[in-house]
Amino acid sequence: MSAATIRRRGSMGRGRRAARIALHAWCGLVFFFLVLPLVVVFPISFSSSAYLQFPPPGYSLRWYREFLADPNWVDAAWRSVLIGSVTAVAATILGTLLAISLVRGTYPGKGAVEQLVMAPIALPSIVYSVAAYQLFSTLHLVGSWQGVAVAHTVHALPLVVVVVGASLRTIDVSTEMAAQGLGASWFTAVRRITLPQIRPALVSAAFIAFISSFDELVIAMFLGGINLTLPKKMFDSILYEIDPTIAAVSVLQIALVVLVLVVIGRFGSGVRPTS
Amino acid sequence: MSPDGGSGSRAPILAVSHARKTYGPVVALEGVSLTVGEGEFVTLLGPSGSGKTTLLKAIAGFEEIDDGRIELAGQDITDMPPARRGIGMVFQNYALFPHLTVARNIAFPLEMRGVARAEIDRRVEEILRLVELEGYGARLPRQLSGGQQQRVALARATVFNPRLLLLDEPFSALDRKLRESMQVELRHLQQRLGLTTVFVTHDQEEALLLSDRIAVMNHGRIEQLGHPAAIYDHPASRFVAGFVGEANMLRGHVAGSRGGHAEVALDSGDRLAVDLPPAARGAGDLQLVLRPERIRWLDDAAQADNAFPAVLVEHLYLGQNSKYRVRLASGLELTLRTQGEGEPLAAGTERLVGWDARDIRGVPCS
Ligand SMILES: Nc1ncnc2c1ncn2[C@@H]1O[C@H](COP(=O)(O)OP(=O)(O)OP(=O)(O)O)[C@@H](O)[C@H]1O
Ligand SMILES: [Mg+2]
Repeated sequence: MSAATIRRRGSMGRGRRAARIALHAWCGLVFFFLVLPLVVVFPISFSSSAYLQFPPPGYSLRWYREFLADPNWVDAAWRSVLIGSVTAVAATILGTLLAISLVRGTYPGKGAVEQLVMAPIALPSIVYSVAAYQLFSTLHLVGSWQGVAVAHTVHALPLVVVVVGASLRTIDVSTEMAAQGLGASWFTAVRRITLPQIRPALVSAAFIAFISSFDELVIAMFLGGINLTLPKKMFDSILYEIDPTIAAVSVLQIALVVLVLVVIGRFGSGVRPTS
Repeated sequence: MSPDGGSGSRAPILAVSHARKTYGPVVALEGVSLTVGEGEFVTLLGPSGSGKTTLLKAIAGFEEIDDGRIELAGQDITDMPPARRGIGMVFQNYALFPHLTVARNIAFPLEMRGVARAEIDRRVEEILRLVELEGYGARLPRQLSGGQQQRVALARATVFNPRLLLLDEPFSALDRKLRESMQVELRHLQQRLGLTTVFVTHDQEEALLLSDRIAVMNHGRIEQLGHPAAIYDHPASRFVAGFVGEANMLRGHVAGSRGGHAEVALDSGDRLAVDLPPAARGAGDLQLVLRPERIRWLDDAAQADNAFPAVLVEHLYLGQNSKYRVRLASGLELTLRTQGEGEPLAAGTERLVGWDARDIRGVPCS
């Protein structure tokens, strides 16, 4: 190797090192920015004080006890988990079917269907909620958790369709064809050959659908009635009776999401299709 | 023998009649008819876009034909879903299931047929041995080389004893050496299992090497169907002559007779002695095919029915043989091929070239 190429490689190495340091610094900054609220919320949730005070004067578990002792909080939390789970399952199943139809299908009006499915993304939450309220009041769904779950499912559909559709496009259609040629019905081919190949996307989609519901306030406000979801209950408690319970709830909420993420990391990774 | 070199005494397994398929304005198949006999190896040979894959997909059931009929072992399968046809297909990109191991890939068609687990294991083992992939059962497809993946695809398509095996350009992604050994392996496997096979390729050497019969396709039609030697020696059209092997294409008309042969005057002005079937003698314009390996260097004009002084334009050394381009006095350029290294001739060298009356073929004018 000539001296010139060595020098070039040397300088390239230096340039790359500088770039890597800059990247690390940037990542650290972003991480810090994202984690900062936690740094405040976490200690406050263990505060012994009756006020939102930082740093807390002492530590205790009283706000967690408070949360668990108050049936309003616990009911709201369970309701949100229930609605989120129903939304995750329903949106993933319906969204996957829609994605298959949109990616694989050839039928007139496909473009229109795609626009329609994507509409909830473009629509402001308030507009969507008012429209859903109108419709659901004629169906006597307002004020029931089922109504919120239905609205959340429709709201989460575009997210599922985008995630699953993108993944479907990357896998080879001929594997599905081959399966049918080897004796599988279309349904069996999809279940045994296509879906396992996009399993990571299905798991991600379900997770995103769950979070989109678990975190959602506006729709739940309009449709929930007296059946408060966790975000609605938190919203109310901030308005009327601010105390560190809210911090404890936040920490529990974060813990649940992290738990779901860990479970996904454990079971969600699948075989990537060969190019 | 029937004119198409038919499936002979073998019972026909596959019969495609007047299959037609259009994609919007594109006519992919235009009235294709083809029968394949039991245990026969038929190749669909044609340029890109000639409809080979479309015909294969129609036979497998992945594309519906607009018109025509497909029969398998005497049964009309035109509208039957692919799963019930019992046809094995090897896709151009293999279409192995990336999330299943080699053994599970091969077991798939058996599982779909409800074969017992122990029997599945036994048959998977057996076919893995047959394609020389023993011990590879636990691997994922992406952990195999291209040639190994190819063999897994072949094993998966044959393990359930299909009534028909379809292969769409299975070797096009392999390098030359591997391709040649796979060709031999495929032919052995096919003969050993007695598999009725339809094979697609655009490689004419591969087609000539492997096939019992070749169907030359062009623009959604079968231009000629016959034994490899018949296709090569008696091309039915100018297209077939040009596509299968190399050819010097000459045009002319019958101008009389010479020594028991017809005498043809070429458009270039040269006059040739040609063996023409009596039917062609009266015809007006003629299209003639002269294979490069039929032309020889001569020492003496009496050594061949046709002899011409020629000037060498270029010499290409191709390893096992040599190719020369020569120009006749009339300006007509011909390609000439000799076995072996050939004489190293400089451009501009004058030599005598010639061929016999029976070395030249007439094809219908188009
Ligand atoms: N799904 C499709 N939609 C529209 N046109 C198509 C489709 N499939 C094939 N065609 C057209 O039909 C014709 C025949 O295609 P086909 O794939 O059968 O060719 P082929 O002989 O297999 O070519 P190649 O050697 O390139 O694979 C082509 O003109 C092609 O463009
Ligand atoms: Mg093709």
